[in-house]
Amino acid sequence: MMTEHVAALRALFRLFLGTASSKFRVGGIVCIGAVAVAVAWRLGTRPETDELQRAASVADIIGISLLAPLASLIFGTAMFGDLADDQTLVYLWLRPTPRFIISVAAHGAALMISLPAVMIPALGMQLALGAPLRMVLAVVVATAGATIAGTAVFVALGLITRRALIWGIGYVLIAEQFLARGGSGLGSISIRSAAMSIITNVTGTDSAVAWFGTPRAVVMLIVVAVLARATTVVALLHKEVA
Amino acid sequence: MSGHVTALAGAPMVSLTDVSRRYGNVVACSEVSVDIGPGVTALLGPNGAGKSTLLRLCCGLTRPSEGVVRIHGHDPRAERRVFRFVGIVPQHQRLFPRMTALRFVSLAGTLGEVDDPVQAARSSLDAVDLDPDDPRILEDYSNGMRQRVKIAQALVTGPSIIVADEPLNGLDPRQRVRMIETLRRLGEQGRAVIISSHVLDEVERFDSRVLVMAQGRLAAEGSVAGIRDLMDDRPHRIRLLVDHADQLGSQLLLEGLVSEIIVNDQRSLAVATDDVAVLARRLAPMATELGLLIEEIRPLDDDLDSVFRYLVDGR
Repeated sequence: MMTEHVAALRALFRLFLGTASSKFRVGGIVCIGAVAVAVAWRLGTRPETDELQRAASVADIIGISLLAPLASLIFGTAMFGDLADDQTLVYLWLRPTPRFIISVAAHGAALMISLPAVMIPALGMQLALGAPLRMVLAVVVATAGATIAGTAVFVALGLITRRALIWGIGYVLIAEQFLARGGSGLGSISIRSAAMSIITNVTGTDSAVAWFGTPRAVVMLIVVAVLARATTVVALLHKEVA
Repeated sequence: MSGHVTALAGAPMVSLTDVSRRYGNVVACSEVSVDIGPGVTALLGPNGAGKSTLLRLCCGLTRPSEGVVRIHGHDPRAERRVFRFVGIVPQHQRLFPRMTALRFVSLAGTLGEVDDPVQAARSSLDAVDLDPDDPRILEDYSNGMRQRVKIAQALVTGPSIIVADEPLNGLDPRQRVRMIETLRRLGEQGRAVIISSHVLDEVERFDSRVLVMAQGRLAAEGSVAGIRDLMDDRPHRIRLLVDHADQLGSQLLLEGLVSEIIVNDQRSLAVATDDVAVLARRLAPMATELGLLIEEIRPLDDDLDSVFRYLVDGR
């Protein structure tokens, strides 16, 4: 039974990866990443009294607020969204494969594309700014956490709704931009808020959206990812497939 | 969710009891009860009759609003492992375009927990006369080849139930013959092959049991011959073009050859008759006797839609 599950997981992972990684999507996110690094390099050439704070702000505004949600949204929603749109989801759904395996494969494939698309520019930006090692490490952990949680949310959204991109953009604009500034209450539904809390705690910098201690921020990102994954499994169990 | 599911002894392969399915205020399927066993069973009905919804209910793709669906005695919405018994051939032609046929069918085998998915895929592709080593991707396949790939992926797990939605759509005449042969053969092997169609002549060639769907209801059930009888037994409407329509109409009524008559204008009338043969025999002599010239005789409802109307509305 375990061998069958591993084989199914591998086959589904390859399928999701191939389906979502269109040249248009990958090209688009690479271009945005390249522009982000170029902007960071330009900023790095200007004199700044607090370079650490500048590195934290760039990590927030370009990395965690823009690149991470954008890549997660594009590739996360594509996993089930593409299959639902072209009605090929039936070929996976009408099989005895456990639903958690389908969910793991979809999230894994979304991460496989999103993580490099986000992490490479995020690292590139910090290097271009000449950030110290602790900032680089904090950015790596926070950005990876934000991408893992974000892809989990958007994979679920791509399965639940047929207008996942629109709902996803709405979530990013409302929760990640607006509610994230609303203190530890409203900010607790923001991935950005948790990720920036990690960076500010580790580096001693400030952010208008950092409200939590590091342990709580890490737990928040894990909880979001686990809840989103569970939502995907439940949605798959109850899905009406065209 | 159990690890293994076996077919319950004595349970029908597919069983629907008082099944209804609504989408908002629209009733797609209403109070359908039917058991389906080995052989080909055709769902016949006009577009929008509820055939696709019933097919989707039969294999668990959608849940009933009311009623009970069972596959080998199990609820497909609660026990996903019953999907081992089911292979589906969707109506649409979309596949994973960048895969080869072998990879696509192997994927189906892997997800269906077949022991050797690649070998099973080769056998399935052979069974539908496709070359397993064809290096082309599915995007480059013709409609007929894609249809056969869909059947191969449905067969790869050795299912006892095959559900095919309009399987002859988009095929040329030669491909249709081959597809009909393939599905008939699967039925003869003891599988329940459930197909949908809106064309009686197509269904006739499957030599199948027929379930006639109309307006979401199961309107009739039986053989194609029985459906043909229904077509013959119901009142037929015929339009006649004649130089004095009122005169011919009066005589037809007088002799009791028609049950209904509508004179459209001086040269055209529509009649309804229960016995077309008698009317046809009498019409020409009657015209001669009356000195009338009949220019055209045209059946108004010699198609399946009129049978559905008759079954549902009694008209």
